[in-house]
Amino acid sequence: MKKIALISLVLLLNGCALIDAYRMARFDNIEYALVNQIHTQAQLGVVSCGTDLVYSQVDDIYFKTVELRNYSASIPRNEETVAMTNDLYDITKGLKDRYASDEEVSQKYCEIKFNNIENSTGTMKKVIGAKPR
Amino acid sequence: MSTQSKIDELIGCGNANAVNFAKQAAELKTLVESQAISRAEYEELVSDLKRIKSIAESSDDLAIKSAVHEVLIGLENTALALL
Repeated sequence: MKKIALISLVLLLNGCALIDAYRMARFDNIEYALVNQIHTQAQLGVVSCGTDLVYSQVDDIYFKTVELRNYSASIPRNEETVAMTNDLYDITKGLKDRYASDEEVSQKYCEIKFNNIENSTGTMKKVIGAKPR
Repeated sequence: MSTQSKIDELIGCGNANAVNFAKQAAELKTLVESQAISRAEYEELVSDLKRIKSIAESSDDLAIKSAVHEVLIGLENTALALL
């Protein structure tokens, strides 16, 4: 039933959409590994909120997010992943900027930011991991 | 219509993504009102909700594209087998 629905969808799509799908960027080990690293770091790093360890965690997550964004942007026909990495970059940049400022950072803000990064990369992992081989 | 009533309306709409979005918005509103987070932190976290929604939309697009790709490859293999 699912196959019939998919084939129907294929027949409804226009030529450009079909060519885009046919030529789309394939699964990439490095891209997936970077997303997984950021996901894991956010998952484990949340306990550092409110301690001095949080600064290094935030720096590491930010560095890896920039690395992911740069890497994904260099892969041709990778528009959806690039869009996701840009949004993820904006989320982590906000966290980094706040810890770099003189203002006090609340415990709850820190926890929510780490959760946002974990949830976003969790969403990304599912679809990036399912790209065609 | 107030922000709170819009949030309540979304929570009652039944769409999982909309309900999740509304619950997070409601939590942020409570946190800023109780001063557990600052106004600036609140504004950034609200922007994050939009970014998370955008990531979800891009991930849906990518999932559809991958599925269409698999179908095309399947059709191609079937056509090759018939030749």
